[in-house]
Amino acid sequence: MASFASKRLAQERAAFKKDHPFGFYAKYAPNEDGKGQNVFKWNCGIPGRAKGPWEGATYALTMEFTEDYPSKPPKCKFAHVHGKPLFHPNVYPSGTVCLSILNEDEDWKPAITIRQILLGIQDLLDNPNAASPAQEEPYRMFSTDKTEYLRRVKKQVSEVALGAQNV
Amino acid sequence: MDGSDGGSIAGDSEEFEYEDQDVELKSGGEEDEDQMVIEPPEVRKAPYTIMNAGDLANRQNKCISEASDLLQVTHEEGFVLLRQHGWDLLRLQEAWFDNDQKVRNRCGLSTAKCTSPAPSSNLAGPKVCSICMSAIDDLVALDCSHGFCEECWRGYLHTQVDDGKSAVQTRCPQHKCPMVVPTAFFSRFCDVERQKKYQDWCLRTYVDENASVKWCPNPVGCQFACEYQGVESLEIHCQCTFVWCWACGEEAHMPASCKTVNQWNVKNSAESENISWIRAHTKKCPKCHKPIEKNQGCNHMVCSKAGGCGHEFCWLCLGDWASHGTSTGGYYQCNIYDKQSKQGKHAEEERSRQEAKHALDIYMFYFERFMDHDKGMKLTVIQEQDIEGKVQRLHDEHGFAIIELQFLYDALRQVRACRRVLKWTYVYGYYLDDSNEKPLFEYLQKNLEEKTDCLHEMLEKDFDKIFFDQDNQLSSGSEEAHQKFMTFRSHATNFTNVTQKFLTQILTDLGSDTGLGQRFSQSST
Repeated sequence: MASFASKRLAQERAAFKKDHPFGFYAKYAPNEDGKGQNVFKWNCGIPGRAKGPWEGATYALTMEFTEDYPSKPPKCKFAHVHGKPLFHPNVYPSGTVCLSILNEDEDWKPAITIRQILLGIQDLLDNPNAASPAQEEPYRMFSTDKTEYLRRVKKQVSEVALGAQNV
Repeated sequence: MDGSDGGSIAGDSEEFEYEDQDVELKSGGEEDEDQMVIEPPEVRKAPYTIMNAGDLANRQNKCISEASDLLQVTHEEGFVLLRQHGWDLLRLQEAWFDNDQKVRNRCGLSTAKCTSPAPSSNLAGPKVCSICMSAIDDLVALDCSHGFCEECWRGYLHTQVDDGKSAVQTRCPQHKCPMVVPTAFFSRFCDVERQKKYQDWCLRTYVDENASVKWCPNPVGCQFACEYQGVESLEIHCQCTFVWCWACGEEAHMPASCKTVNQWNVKNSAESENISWIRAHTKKCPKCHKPIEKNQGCNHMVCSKAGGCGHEFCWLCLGDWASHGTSTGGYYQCNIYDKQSKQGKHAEEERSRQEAKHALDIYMFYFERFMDHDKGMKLTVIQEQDIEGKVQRLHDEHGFAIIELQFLYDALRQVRACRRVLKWTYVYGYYLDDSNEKPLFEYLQKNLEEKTDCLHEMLEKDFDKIFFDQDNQLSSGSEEAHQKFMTFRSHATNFTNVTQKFLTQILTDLGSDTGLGQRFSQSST
């Protein structure tokens, strides 16, 4: 019998297929042995919002769920760009996203949908949260030198647009 | 707390005179007509309340009822509101009558702040639980009308309880919905064990989020809490016998101030490891006083030339190695020390060592005495049980009334109170400059220490010698036994009385920087 978590994930997948925001994608990752799919690992894509600094590319991100889902949130991790983490104050060097709704001790609620998570992360890209820095260099630049920060972001956007993200 | 057993031994004490007639008492209590009334060691008329779990629940309920009456809200809402306002009804009241809607929004009691759309309930077709995403007819929702099936509510609330005491702040499972989940939901969906946990946390919020109630910080563990309206230092006498300071939550530390105690604790934690190692493994070079570690088997020590003075000495007697010739009985039969010290050869060395006292020495001097009194104080807790047995024996064998033996407890508690204060006088003394105050301080400390020791010894040794000596058993109920008992009681009561006076005096005289001494003397004379 399918677990509670996998049933909910199946529902999420169906709901996302039926209706999802423009430019996003979210699907099961293939199993490592190449046979079939892993319901607990999703490959997602988040487009940079129009007119924002991240416009011009779609950023690959994996979501990993546990059997405790939806009691516990999934772990969301951006793929590296040329071996480096996404240049964003709230992305850890590992690529993991630091966001209150993804933290079970903060704002995570079991009714939060995958669609809401993806939109939340898209919003975070344009609006970093200086109160919880996760990566030193972008944080420092974001708070001291906005022009240089935006230049570095732009550089990464064009790298991603040219296919530099190794998913 | 009841405060009635204040004068139980007052009548007895009138027959006795002080032994120490030369004790100069401060003329602080002129209004006090009855000088002979012995106050028990604890301060009885306390401005604070000690509460157990039952008292806490009553107090919490009363507080919630008052709030719900005053603000015309339900009991449940009152609970949420008070919690968010640190159980301060005045603060809540002020905020509420200023703008009650704002308070409701802030505390998760209204849907106004909810940015998550209400489910489209008017649509035809089955309703969908937004957690399991299954179509279910019976959804359960809070006032925000975000519906979830019972199974998902159960799962959600179980997870919340399992995650710890933040469960009391659980909100609606909907994204961004701030509605607080009421207690009733936990009773409805949780199993008995989790309900119990949840209720316990609800009760604990009354202490944890309340500035005027604190848990007793007894390191052994204590279930009592204390309520007091104030922030200054005050000695709290908990029913578990632990005495602690309201302001800093440490053990009661008069005459030292909270600041001094903090300084001392920081110092202790930084140095204790080093010091205990140094004490266990080193001796000081008798010449240059550097600590020396013995890293080889024989007793012939050479103070390292690199860091020390190159002096050669004997590990056992610390005497000069040059004198350890065969003439004195061989190198490893070290019997020289006695002779030498008798001849005063070490005296000079000793004096120069005293003079060259290192900062560490001073610290250790105070620290060791601090710890000695701490140990003595903790012993009295064990001895109190011991005395209980002896009281029973005296009662059985000699027919003394239990009430007449009350003085033993009073004496022991007096010793405990004195040991505690003495313990902290060493902290006070450590930080005291060599000012004019120092001689007075040391004089007061000496007096108290001496009398406390006498009383303690009396209770430990004399008492046993008189009544429980195997070789010299008193015949039960005899005139002799009665006589001895009366004498002993008279002594012990006098000493209890005298130490109490010394205790009051030292606290009155030294307490000026904390203001504690003042308060203590007011409430205990």
